[in-house]
Amino acid sequence: MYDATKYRFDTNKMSHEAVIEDGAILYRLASIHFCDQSNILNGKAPLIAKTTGRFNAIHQPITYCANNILICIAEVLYHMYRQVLDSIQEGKSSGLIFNNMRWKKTLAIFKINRVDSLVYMDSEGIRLDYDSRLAGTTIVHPDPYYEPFRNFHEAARVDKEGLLYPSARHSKDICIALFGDKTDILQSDLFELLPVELKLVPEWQDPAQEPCDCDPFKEKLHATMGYYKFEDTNRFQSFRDNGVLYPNDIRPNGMVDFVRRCYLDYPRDAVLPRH
Amino acid sequence: MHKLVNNAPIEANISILEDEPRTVRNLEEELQKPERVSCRLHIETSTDIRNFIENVKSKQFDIFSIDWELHKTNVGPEALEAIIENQPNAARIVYTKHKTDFPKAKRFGADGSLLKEANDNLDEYVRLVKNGIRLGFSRQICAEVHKLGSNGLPNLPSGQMLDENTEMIICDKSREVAYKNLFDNKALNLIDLLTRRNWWRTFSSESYVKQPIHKKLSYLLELVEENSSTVSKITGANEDDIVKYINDGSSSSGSQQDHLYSFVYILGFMLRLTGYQPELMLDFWRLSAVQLPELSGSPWSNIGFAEYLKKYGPLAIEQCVIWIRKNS
Repeated sequence: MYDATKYRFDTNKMSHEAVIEDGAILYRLASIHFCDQSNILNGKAPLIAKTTGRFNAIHQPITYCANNILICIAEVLYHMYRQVLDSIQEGKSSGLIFNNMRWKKTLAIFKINRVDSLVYMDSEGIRLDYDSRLAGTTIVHPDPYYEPFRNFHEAARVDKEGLLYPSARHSKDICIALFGDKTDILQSDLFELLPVELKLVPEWQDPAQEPCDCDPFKEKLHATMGYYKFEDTNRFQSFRDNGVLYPNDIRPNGMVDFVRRCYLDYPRDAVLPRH
Repeated sequence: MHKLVNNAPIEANISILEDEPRTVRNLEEELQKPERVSCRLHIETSTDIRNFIENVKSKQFDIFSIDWELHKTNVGPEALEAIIENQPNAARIVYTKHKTDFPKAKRFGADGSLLKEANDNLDEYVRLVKNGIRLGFSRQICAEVHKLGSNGLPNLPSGQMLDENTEMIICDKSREVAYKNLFDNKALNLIDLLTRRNWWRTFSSESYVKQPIHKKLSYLLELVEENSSTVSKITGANEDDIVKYINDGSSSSGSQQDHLYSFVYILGFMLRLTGYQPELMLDFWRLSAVQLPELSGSPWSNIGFAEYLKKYGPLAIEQCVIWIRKNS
């Protein structure tokens, strides 16, 4: 069962000390090829990335995950969107650009052992101990690369296991970045994979309709929302029944924001069409 | 080229009209054994003609099995007429207690008939159903091919089963038409039929993600029609080691495993380029950028993935990974 109390950080945003308790469930949207237990937390994804990540230099081992499925989806949709924009700017072939409009990924759902020694970024403490420029707005800086993050994560790597931080693409819950190879913290009693398809849509897409294919050369891509669909709705439902999904009552498919927004009724407002 | 292109079983829908409870039980039990019928059958049984005709009008079946006489009334002609009117391309077999019904059944459009014996001759029945399924699929496939504007497929009249040669021609031709129309919504019915008939591969993320990486490599290699010898040539590793890796995932060195992972990464990139259409993998593997403009500027653009990797080995793997990393 998902337990929201297992991600411990100072909700008053003073101290940067944070801990993830034994048995906490994490989510990660992984490649469909490298998603088994030996790869999910080995931190090697940056080896095949072309650029630096938010908290890693190029090729520096790290695993990005979250305690909320919608964060994982929103983060990947945003990167797909940026990749299309960048590819057009770089004059890449249309075939490759169209290819980045639709991705098959798998949601890995797993439990981990306790991780001490994490840094909670959205705190006063981080300004005092690391960098005074990291606060409030800048912590959710929209650019994938933001220079103060680089100095910060290099400093944190010296004696910390990873970071807890708010997503720049989703306004609820937290992202978790684990430094290095953390395969040994994976617990054996929960490891599930749920394939999901992600798609960029045109800006006129009606959320109540099936997502349309979009030609980014002729139309405008939706700049704040994208579409996801869990392929096996029966398994999705059974995980929901077993309480391992969070948010537990999201739809198996729909459109989700990849920018931060204020939701009055969460998670109902976070996935369109509302239900 | 007639061959199974997919490990999945044939998926067929059968409608049975039968009123004797014992026979219904025997037929359903027998047909639900995948090893017996070599396919996964979805069975809908009707014990009266009204319900049967409702099903004929509302659901799609690949084959119908009809008891000629229900409750001492000859319902065979009415049942066959309804099938021919609503689903003319499905196969129709008649299972009857009277051999004298055979000529009449044929006249009304039955493709095959079998005498129902006291012990429900199930072996013969299952054989007839299997042949009927092949016929039903072929007829429906020919009709879909025709709808897509392609002619020249054999005519499959009622009253006779299918020979292997004809089936082979239908398989090859229909696959060719499906390939040409792959991204056209009009071909969806044809691709669905070919997939259920096991003449077309589709990609299932659900089963793929559960496989360990060495099994994924094995699956991807099958799609590009390559084997351990090619992998050995490309990665520079000993072929016995590759065979061992593909079989049980054990790898003799870290660098060998890195090369194999990179190879999976490259084939995975290709799969995404195809829009997750396994049937296109072979072309993407062999063709150069002349035929596939999306690959222009890649290290393998002049000679294609296969030639490039085979020619330059581990160095080519690295070059491919670098290019893919930059461009995908």
